[in-house]
Amino acid sequence: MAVRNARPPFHPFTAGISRRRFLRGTAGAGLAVAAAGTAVATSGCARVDLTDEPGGGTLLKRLRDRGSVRVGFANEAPYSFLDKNADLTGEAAELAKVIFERLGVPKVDPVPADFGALIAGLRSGLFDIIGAGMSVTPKRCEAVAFTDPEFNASEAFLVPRGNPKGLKTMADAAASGATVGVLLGAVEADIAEKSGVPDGKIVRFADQPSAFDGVAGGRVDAVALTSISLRWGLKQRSGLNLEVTPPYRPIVDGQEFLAAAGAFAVRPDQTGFVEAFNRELHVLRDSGELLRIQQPFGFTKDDVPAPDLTAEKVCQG
Amino acid sequence: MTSGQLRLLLEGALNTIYLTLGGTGIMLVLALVAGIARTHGNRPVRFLAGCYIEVFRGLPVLVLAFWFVFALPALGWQLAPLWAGMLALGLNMGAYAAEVVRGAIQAVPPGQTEAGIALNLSRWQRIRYVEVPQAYVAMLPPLGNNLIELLKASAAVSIVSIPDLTFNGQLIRMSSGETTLVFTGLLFGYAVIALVLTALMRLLERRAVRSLGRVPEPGMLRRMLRRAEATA
Repeated sequence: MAVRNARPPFHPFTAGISRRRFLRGTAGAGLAVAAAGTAVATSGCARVDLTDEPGGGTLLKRLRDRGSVRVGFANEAPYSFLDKNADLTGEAAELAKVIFERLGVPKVDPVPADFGALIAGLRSGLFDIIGAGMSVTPKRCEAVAFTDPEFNASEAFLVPRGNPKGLKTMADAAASGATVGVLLGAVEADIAEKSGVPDGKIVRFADQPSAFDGVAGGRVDAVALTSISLRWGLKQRSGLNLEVTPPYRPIVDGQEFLAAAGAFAVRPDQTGFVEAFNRELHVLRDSGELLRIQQPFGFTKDDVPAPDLTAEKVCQG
Repeated sequence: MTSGQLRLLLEGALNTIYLTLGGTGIMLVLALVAGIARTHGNRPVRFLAGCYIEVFRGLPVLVLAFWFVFALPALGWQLAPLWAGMLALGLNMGAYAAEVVRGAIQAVPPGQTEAGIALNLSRWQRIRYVEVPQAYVAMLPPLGNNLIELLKASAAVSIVSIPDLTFNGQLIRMSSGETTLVFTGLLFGYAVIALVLTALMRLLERRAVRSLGRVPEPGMLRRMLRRAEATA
């Protein structure tokens, strides 16, 4: 075998390293990189069974055995977010800590995710429960099982201090001819339209900060949003000379309009878990502890859901 | 910036480095296999390699990562997001790099292959001892390019809940509102990682050039040493 003995021609600058040794070395380095990558990740590949469990599911038992629960959240203040110390806090997060403690699951592991990826992440098993103050909507009800709402957001207006137009409800806004700012795609545009605010008096803003600037700069007379978001937003920008009007419940077509009823969500087959969770949630709500947990995040007694507001009811739209 | 936020950023940087290294490992293996297969005499082999390259070069790495994290579990397998990210990056960049490998091998003068045949080397021996060692030098600089590209693409796959540098930076931005500080920090973070990778690739390139018996330009370290000697 001529090749076995073939050596690269000696060259003063190759410093005596044969090409073969050099190649072997670099190939080895490449393999080492690949191996390191695999070692990091070997723990991360596993068989999962995402078929529906019969009889209400075993989620609660599995969580109790593990002693921890992975809560998916979207880093949205004041519902679930990381505080200045990068610790999980917020209305839904604090509530989750209390309820899971009572359910016999001592540890809550936060799993941050994009809001749009929350339901997909839950369904593919990245976390056990969504705890992001997610609004219950009929469409989402098809994909996940919601617990009963943990809050039912009341509506309010952000107005210049002193509320010069005297706005209390959307009907007032329609009657006084005030210009109302809403967020793009938010339910408040619906409420305004159905309450008789003409389209020319509705100004749509891309995000909350620009809506706040809109009132502060006099572009609109008021911004309509849930009172929770308004109070929290104003707390972050206390320099503005604005105030939040007292919360109200919008009436549309003679019925109370649900702006945002937020709840936890699990995979659709885990109805047994939902029952257990609801039991603890109802106890907290009836004892007033729910409000005590949520109060630091700008929630008021007007945001506590009524006892007859169940997930089922909201799902029906 | 608090210690908790700093910890979050450092963890993110570590995950970005994991993503880059793991993705690079997969990329190199795939690129070598597919690149060499592309120059194979056997038509089905060439075709298969071509299929891999065309399919995975055309798939956005973001969609791949999404599929691995959110669609694969429906088939009964679950990948940790970090692992899924590496795989998506490796598969995607591997397709690009395979073309680099193919190009470099085809750029080896045909006389070299003919000489190998004249020496009665088998095909595998020709690849191993004649073609790849020479092609290696030519493929290193563009592979370095792909490496940096992969590092940056890792920022995109963070959307599948991989807590990498970008993802954790966003978390901090949202909770602290310090947009300028956070994104400036991210810029520097990626720049530092990229610079280290570039330096390593330079080192490899110089070694490769030397392996062909050429003399590389003196590097920064040697230039500094020489200057120090001259002034001493």
